Amino acid sequence: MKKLGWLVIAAAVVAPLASVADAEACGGEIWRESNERPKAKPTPAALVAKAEKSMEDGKGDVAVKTVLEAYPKLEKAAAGKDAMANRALRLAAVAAVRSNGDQSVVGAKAPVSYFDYDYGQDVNVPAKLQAPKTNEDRTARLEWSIKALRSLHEQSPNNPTITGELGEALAATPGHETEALELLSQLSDKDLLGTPQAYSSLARLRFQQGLTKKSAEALQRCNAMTNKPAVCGPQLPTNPA
Amino acid sequence: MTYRISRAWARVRRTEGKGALVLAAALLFASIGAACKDPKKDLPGPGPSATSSTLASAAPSSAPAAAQDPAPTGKGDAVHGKVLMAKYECNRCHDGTGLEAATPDKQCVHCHTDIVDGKFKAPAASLARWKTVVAPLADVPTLTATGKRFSRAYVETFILEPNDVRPKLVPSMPRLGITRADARDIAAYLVPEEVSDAKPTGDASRGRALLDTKGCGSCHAFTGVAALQGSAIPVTVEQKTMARAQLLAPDLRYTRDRYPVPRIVEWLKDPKKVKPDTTMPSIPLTPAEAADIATYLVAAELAPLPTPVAFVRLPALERKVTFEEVDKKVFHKTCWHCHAEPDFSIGDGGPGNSGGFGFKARGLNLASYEGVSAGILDKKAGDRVSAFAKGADGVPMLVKALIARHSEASGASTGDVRGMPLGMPPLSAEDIQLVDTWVTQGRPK
Repeated sequence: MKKLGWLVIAAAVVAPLASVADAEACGGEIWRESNERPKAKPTPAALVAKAEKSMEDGKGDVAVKTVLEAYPKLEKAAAGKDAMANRALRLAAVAAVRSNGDQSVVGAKAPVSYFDYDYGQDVNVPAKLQAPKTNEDRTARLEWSIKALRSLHEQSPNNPTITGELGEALAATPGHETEALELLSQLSDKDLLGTPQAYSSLARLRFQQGLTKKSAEALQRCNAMTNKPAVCGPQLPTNPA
Repeated sequence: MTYRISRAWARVRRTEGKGALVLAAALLFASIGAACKDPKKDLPGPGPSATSSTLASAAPSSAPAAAQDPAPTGKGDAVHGKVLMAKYECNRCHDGTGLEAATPDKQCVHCHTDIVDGKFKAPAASLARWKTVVAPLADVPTLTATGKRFSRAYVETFILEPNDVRPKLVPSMPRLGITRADARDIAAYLVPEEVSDAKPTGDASRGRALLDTKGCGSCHAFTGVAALQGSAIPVTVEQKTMARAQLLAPDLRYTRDRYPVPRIVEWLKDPKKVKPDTTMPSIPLTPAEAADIATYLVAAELAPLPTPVAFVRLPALERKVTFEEVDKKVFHKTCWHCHAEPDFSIGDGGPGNSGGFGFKARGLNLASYEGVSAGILDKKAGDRVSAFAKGADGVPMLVKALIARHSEASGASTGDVRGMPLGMPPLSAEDIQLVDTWVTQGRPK
């Protein structure tokens, strides 16, 4: 008799749980039957690696969209402990600098992903970049890049790659030329400037200062590093300031 | 009677065709090999080396920095030796260290073995690609029963100045940044009890005949004497075990330096009794036969090793060399695993970047163009310096390290410059030429 009592209590507890499970089954039936569960989202590391490859291939817009997929709130981010988030931030900042503000996370619409139960499939709405509407917008984006790279530089002051990129960002933004020249020159003197873009920026800054011989040296290093003349050439003004 | 060990027992390695990815280049004790001994220091032994004086004259005159440390007195501190074993991360390559096993992401050889056996969790295509690369790097000797086999003095010297005695094993014990005092402490830990050496009492000519008839030559090389005959071993050994035995078999030339005579005899009589995990099969031998073989091993007259051929730096290529080509043929193929990008490697860029095997972090990242360009942390000040900075001889630092590996492999001193790839065969002259040319051309991307 005592055992029967326990059974009744157990049935009373289990019955509501079973009905909840049934209700869930109805909602997810399509994808359960089709055996197509939502695919695992790529890891941030995979997305950042993909974005870096895009950047290397000259597809800055794709790179920015890809890092937004991993870090939708990148616009508000600063250097932190997450190494991948830091790489994403760096990449987004550099992409904006090299596109003169066109390819920026600033003002971008973050990507949206959801599972459409009606159709039983993933829906991914990619990020959408917005072109700057005014010169002020453009400058603000470059300033955003400086801020992002500065925070990374403060965190890793002994990282020539970040320092060089900060120098590049400063060189591209009106009002920061003096600091840019100092940073880039220091790295160049130690042979630690790692990109043709940075050498191109240095060549331009030196040219503006009337340092034509040193400018030519930087330009030569730029051209030695890349087989894309556009990286070095068009950015150098024809007349010294 | 004493005999001298000459530093000129330089390793002679076939280097071509051995350039492989350095997935854990540094292999501690990968081959407990011949001593590169301070020639002034005598070791107890069974008889004079027939070649020591000849070879000594061919040896480089200056000993590496580590060997020039003042010799510490005493037997060494075994307790401290165990601490040092952990510091130098011997357990990243070796089993049988007496330390806890390294974590799976740090244990190089286990990881390689898992890849070869298909147990590593990675996409099938990646595994298939990695397998061929790491297959030669999936085995090293264990340190089990080191103290029951080798002399303490030998172990100390080998740790200090390792050379390669296992001709078929691709990796070799790397040259650590270690002092003689530390090497002595580790030796004291690994060889807690010494045995008195003794004169060999057997018949060397019978010993030689036994080596030929018992199938020793099917695994072992014995350089410096007439080639051993390749007779079959008189016991049945599983094919896989035999393959491992051949891979790990040391050149018998060095036995006289490694073992006190009584231990050679014990070893020959029943190797598995001495070291249960050995791949050496137990060949039925009478005590007299074991003594005969031991006598030949320690008393046979050895021809000098060939004089090492000096490395010749090839002139820069005239064609254009890009980073893409250098990366594919050298950096990503050989250097990358120890000089990786920490962000993509759970924070550990490998011993050449984040530090390891007792080396401080040097921050050299050879995984990308930007990484290579970002230089290396200066040893003293900790500032960044260019990896392409030229020394007084005009050779860029990176190229100098690659050339230094050739010098190390031939037994020459390289001073402060550590040869790269660490614990691996040197790069070919052509691969070094490629890197050299790329640097000369301004490192085009």
